[in-house]
Amino acid sequence: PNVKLVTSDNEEFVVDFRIAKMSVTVSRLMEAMNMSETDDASLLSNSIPLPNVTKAVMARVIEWCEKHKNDEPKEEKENDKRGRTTHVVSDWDKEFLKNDEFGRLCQLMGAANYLEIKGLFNDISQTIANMIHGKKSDEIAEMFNIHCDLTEAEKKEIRKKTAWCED
Amino acid sequence: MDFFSLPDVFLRQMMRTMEIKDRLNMRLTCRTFEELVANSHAGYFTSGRITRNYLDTQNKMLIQIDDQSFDNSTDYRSDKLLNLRNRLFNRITLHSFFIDCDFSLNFLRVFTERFEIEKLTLIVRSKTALENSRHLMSAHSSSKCTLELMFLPEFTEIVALPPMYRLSVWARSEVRFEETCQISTDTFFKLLNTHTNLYTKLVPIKPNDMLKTIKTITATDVQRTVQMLVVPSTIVNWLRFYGISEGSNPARYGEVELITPLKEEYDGSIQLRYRSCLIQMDGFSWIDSGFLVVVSFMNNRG
Repeated sequence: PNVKLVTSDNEEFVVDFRIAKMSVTVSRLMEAMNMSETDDASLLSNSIPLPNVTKAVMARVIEWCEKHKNDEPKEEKENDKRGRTTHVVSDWDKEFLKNDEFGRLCQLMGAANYLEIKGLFNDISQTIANMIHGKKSDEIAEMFNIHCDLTEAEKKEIRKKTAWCED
Repeated sequence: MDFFSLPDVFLRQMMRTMEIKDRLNMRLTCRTFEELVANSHAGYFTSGRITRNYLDTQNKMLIQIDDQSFDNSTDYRSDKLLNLRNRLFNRITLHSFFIDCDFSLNFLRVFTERFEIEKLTLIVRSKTALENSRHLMSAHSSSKCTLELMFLPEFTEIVALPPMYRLSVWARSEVRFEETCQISTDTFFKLLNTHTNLYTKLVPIKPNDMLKTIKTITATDVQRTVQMLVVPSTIVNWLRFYGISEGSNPARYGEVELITPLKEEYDGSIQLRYRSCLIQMDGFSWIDSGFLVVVSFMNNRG
């Protein structure tokens, strides 16, 4: 069975029921609208409005979901506390996200957050963390277009206080 | 796109995936990042420690979180360490964390108060450190606690220790360093009845104490491992009681099943089973070689 999703710019996406269920938000909406996998009429007569997602971003989300629709559900611990060590971005996901500049990653992350697709959300978090990994403070500032409002004296003080914990 | 306009839930998730070194660098980027680093959960790390740096001649304090060392190369100043921790994260989760309880209790307690530790190992080398360890176990009551005793406390002190996941008594004799220290059979059974897993040095048990030990371990379905050093003659006499000798083949001998007999004299390993308890004996010889046998009892461990 298929489910119709309508984006903020009125684009309709027809997706497999399994893909729709990957989003906790869509699942909840389908439940609220009495849409069930076994009731084709309910699926045909309704569409799910997603006012916080644009057509371009939705296409990317669906591409990610298509790839991951057969994944085994991951065991999530309380507060995802194991995230740092076990959330490894797969090669396919790295490739999927590698050409996204920061602004597009943020839009995709915003959609993953709104749609509550934890796997995609974690992938993007880890990808941005990987972008930061090993960079010096000025490189991080340049990458995210951040203006440094710390004075040289403040920077010196921070460096001084943490100098002994450098390698 | 303004980084800081991203949803809080995302920023917090991202901060949980950062390495400690990256958090240090992020602090220097701007004031908002500095605050974000200080007020976010550092995420889940595999291991950490507060121990003495034994590579350093002055045995200074060494703090380590995964591969990031906070080696205090100038002097040990608790205020400096606490300030750094306050600016690096507001909480952290560690799978395992080792604490040398020789340091000031106040520092250890305050430094780790924002630590969620799954397996806490406390290393104790003195009476004061033992007292510290009791407070730390209480402060981290949800952790699986292991106490590594590097000295042998008085009987009343050791038997008064609260129940814990694992107690290891690695104490050495004060008289001769190379001489193995022993705990009395009475102390051993009291500890066996209190702690889930127990590792000790020499216990002067008699052959009939072997069965008492096994019965205590198998009294419940709890997974337990108990390891101790035993003199070879005790083992030989216990095995002979069941009819197991040098030439015995794998078979059931009364309630004891011989799984792996001693293959070669130099092999030194023999494996048995008693109900749900697997018994592994290493360094074993039918002829008294003068070496102690390492006996491990593993209940419900497959």
